[in-house]
Amino acid sequence: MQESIETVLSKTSTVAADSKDKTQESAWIAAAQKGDTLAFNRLVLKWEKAIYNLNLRMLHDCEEAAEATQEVFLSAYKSIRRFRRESRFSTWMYRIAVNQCISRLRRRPQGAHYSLDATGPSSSVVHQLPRSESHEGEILREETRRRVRLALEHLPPEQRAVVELKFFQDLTFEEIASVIQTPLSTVKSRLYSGLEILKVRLGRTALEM
Amino acid sequence: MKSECSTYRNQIPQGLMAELPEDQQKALERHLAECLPCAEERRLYRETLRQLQLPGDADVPRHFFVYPEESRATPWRLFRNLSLAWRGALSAVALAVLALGGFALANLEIRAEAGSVTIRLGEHSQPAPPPPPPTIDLAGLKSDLLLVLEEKSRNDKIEMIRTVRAELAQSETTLTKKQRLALNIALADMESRLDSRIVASAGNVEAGMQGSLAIMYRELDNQRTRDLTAINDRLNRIAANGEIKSNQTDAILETLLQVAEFRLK
Repeated sequence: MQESIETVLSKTSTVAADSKDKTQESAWIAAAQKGDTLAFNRLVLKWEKAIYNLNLRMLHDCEEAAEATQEVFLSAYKSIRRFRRESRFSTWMYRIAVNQCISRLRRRPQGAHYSLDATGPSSSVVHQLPRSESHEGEILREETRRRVRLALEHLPPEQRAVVELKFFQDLTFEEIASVIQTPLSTVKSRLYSGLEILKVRLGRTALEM
Repeated sequence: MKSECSTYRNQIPQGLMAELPEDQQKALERHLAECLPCAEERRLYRETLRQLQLPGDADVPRHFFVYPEESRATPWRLFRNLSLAWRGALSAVALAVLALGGFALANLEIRAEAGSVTIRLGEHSQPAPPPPPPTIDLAGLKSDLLLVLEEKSRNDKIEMIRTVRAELAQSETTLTKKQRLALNIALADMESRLDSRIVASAGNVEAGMQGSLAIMYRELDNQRTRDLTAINDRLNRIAANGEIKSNQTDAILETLLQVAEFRLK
């Protein structure tokens, strides 16, 4: 099927924007590596939402997610001179964030249960989500997100990290292997094992709805 | 559930994520079209993936900017980053160190002595240890050694002359006055030579040839022993043969003296 002129123009402009975005990011990284804090904070502004949400889904605690996000950027700021551009900057940031989350999850006492729903309304994710045009649709989506978060809590930290990077950060298997520095086969194995657990919990609750 | 269902069910998530080779994907689709339980399994996986892919990132509660002063890792920040168990353990260690430090400071003693300041923790100080032994006076020791050697040499010489005189007294009956006089003169001369020899040897030792001194004195001692033995032999023969003529006696004595002098050289 032949693409319309509008589609081609749209794709071209998207590619051009991506290229410009990468060039700009590369310049910020170079400046930050020379000690330019302002350039580093531009990188923070660009990546803070993704990192915060990764931490939020991994840790299931708004305050701890914010604390972990700050730690991730501080750690990145201290070690950005060692970033050799052998991988993408996002991969490098995700690696720091995942390590931070796994470390925090391992430090938690066995059996401890953290739930966003158990926290007060001020810290609930519901209040941080963008307003939807349809109140009912938004309620249904939020209910689904809540069930996903609860189901994710039943995964071990390593499986949770793989699911998070695959489905929420949209990374390829190779990128995930690079982030968590694990063989590709292990990454796939962890993902399918995690999906098995999530299917039992999410599939069953979907049937009940 | 059929026996092959287990294999196909394991392939369902891979198929949904387009991770299966084309032939396996087709085989899976054929099986799912025929097997209702496996098709239901795929529906559950699809529903799970749909929920996972539901967009909806939360907004950040604040910005996470970094400021240069924040990047400095202070001990307090490092401590705060530790887990509760580690923080408790470190606190206990710190308290123990503080307690020990306080105890040590309570027994701190600073004492100024002649030329030095002593700082001591714990029990009160014991009397100062005795000063280290003085260094060996090599020059003095060498001088003392020389004196001892010289004294020993002189005693040996006196003893040797006494022995010779005793031997002469024993053979007095067989020697004439002239012969005894000549013998006394020769002995006095030998004594004088021995004195000068000892003085010269001491001088050599003083010049730092301690090893040579020992060898020389050993040689001298051996020589003297041999000389005395020779003299004794001769005198014994003289005593046994009282009829030896005076000219023969002179010759013997002269020979003995020559031998002694030669050996001393």
